[in-house]
Amino acid sequence: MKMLWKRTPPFMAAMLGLALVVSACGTTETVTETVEVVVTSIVTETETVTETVEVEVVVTSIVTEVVTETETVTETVEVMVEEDRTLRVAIPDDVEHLDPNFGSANLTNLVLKNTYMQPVQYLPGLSQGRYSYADTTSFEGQWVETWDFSDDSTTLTLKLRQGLVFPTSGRSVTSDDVIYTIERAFGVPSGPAWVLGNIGVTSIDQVERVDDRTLILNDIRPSTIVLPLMRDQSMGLLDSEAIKANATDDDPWATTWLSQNYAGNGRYVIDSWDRGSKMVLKANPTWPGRQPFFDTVDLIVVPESANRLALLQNGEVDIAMNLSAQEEELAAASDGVSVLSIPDRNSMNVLLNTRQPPFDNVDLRKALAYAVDYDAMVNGVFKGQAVPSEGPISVNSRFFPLFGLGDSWAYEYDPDKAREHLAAAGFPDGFEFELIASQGLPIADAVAANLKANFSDIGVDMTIRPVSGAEMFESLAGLSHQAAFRGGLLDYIDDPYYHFYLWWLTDTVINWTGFTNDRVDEIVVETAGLLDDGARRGPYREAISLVVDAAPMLWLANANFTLAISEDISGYTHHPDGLMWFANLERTS
Amino acid sequence: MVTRSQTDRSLLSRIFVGPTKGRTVRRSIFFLLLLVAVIGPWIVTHDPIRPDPFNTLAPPSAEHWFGTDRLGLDIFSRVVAGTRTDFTLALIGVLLGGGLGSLMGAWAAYRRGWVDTVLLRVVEVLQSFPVLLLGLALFAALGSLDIFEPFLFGPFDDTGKVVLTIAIASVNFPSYLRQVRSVLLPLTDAEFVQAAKCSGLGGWGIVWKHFIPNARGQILALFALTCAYAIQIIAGLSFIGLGIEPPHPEWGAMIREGATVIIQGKWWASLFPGAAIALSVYSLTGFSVGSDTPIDPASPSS
Repeated sequence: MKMLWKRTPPFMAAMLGLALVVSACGTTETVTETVEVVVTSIVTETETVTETVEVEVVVTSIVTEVVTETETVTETVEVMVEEDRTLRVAIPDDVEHLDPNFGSANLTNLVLKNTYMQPVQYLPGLSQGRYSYADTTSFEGQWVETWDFSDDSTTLTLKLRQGLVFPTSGRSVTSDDVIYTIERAFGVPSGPAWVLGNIGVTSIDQVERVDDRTLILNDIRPSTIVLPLMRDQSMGLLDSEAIKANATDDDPWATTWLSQNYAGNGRYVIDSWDRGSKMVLKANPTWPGRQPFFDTVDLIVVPESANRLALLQNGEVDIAMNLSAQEEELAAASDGVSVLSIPDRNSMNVLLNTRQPPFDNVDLRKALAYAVDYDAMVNGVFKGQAVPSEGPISVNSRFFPLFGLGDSWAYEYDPDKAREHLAAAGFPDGFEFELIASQGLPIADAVAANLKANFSDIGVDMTIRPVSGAEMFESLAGLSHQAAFRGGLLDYIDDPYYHFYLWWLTDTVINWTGFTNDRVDEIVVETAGLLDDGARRGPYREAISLVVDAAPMLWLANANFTLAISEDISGYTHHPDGLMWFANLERTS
Repeated sequence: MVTRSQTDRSLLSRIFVGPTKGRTVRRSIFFLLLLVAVIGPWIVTHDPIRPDPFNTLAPPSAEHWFGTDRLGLDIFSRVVAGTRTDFTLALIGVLLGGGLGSLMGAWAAYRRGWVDTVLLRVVEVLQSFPVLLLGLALFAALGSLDIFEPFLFGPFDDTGKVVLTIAIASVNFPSYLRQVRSVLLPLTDAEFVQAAKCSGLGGWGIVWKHFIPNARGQILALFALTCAYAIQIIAGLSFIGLGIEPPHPEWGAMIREGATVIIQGKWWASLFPGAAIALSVYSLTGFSVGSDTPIDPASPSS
């Protein structure tokens, strides 16, 4: 046996490796790091005094205790002074750019929303304990002080807020900046052009300058979503002079410059941006209203979710974004940390391509809809942080009870009924298809694995192919997929017209199922100008039934919005777009 | 030193019993793992791809011997099922790359001249890529193509497995070619080769009947080492998300899956597949070390 051990160095190396792995388990990374830092500094200090290893260890251990205590006291004092008005947020990725016209990823939109000033924003609604929902029917002016619709809602008069200044240049905001912002939206066709088009502004000629502080938007489209659209993060006001000064012949709208530089006047301004590492926001000193509680917001890039959790648990950040379900469970169990779990309209859906086999067959789509174990999805995969979805309009939408949509849902977990639909479709023994899911998205793995098991019970073989974000969008836009899982589908505006305009109109913006129905198209067009919810109720109930009956999606669940946050942070207002609004947050003792 | 007792043993005993106790133990472990790969579907305790969403990250217990992972999949069943995946892909990939590499190495040694030069340049290009980079490039080039679909069968039931096998073969092809060529180069002008030529045997006939047997010892020694390396490559590529279709079990992918929760103290999700890889690689070394001794073609028994 002795010989065996001597002659088997690979075995011993493997065992040593295993032992290291085991010994590493159960020790948090932060603790290890702290110890290393202390020891390193002590060793550096004692190097000249000690020569032998034994002596060094003794001296180090003694000094460590003293210095550790000293450091703790020092840090506490600093924390009291520094962190009082500083909000620290651990984010998973860096901001992509700073041009409001091209916002895309949530983090970029989050920064654009807080650092550029939109015409209006939602007012906070009633408190729900540790958070409140934004009141989606009430608005407060941002750069707009007052807004007045004409009687027929085709003209909108905007009065600029008195005393607005661009903090980077010190220049007063005028109507010319608004006009330039709209001109640029049309010059760089992107987000704001789409938003403006939806409220009926398709040409700069519709914008009338009355004086330095007054503008009129003429011939706009009467719609319930005019103000909700104007709070979009892409509608940020731009400093026209700063952008013009950086325009070139090749780049007349200074898109390159603005992607990396700041020219706004939001409630917060960008103080510094250490790319890939940290962005510092400062409260806008020129904002004429009440200053937010936090004068500084540090957005710290921490790619590993486990590290974001550790920083939150140690009190080094106040908010850790994008944690996994397991990490949120750990966060909730930690002292001084809580996890806000806010019922939301976040949809977790499988998008079936209705224009290609096999899902051009409605019975196959229905077969899958009946094969999903919705309870396992909601309570197992989402750990109860979700509710079963009941069709295209979320059960957490204010329109779900308003339109009485509880009776429009058709699908429950019923494998026998699923098999009946398979037989009716001519596939009694099942069929094969491919599901694409976003690579590296933990919830996508879990959802896809459970769906695969559900479908195999009725003889359907689903292959899972993880794809990059770019490939996902290419497949969806080109309708080249068979089925795709998309998590976190959230309409930035809670409104049935907005939802149908985006998803269900034939060949519309994100009609990623290829769904088409003449009657639905008619309803969307007919209701576009209706402002009375009572008048919209009937048509939308019909449209929703038609969509549910066609089953172009598997509506799996409406997941809660979750946020791991320090317990001393209050004032969180949940907006329909899910983007945090820093100005309402406070630290309470 | 070759002793009479070592070389007189039967082929079967030479395969199973190593020249030392240590190698015998390692070989026993390998055959045990091979057995697990064959009978895996009959000894798993749970369906390795059916998650239990209500029982995620459960620690090892009587119900789940190795615990469950983030999706609620039984880790013991997945480690067992992963044995077949990793062993099959590694063995076939090495056989493919090693077989072709040995043949081309022998051909290069026999023909010399421009054939030798061209083949050497090809392997130099292949060897200039780091293994993972080569794997990434192959997946980028072949991973999304439909060309393999008509040929998907048996253990190769998805494109990822086919590309993984091609990656393993591509990594091994140059090693075998170089090794075999260098061993056989001195034999090009040997008398028995000249005699074979005079007897009218063609080029490929000489390579097959007279060259390859002379490199048998080196090929077999390399085979065990490269199989061990192949398992690590498969695990490495799967660890970075390439290869096996999820949620099908593969050790590297399982370690990746478990790595996300190890900081939470959920050690079992990564440890057991990691131990399986360590054990496999360790067991395969039982064949590589000293395997040239009992099958030395120059030995009296050969």
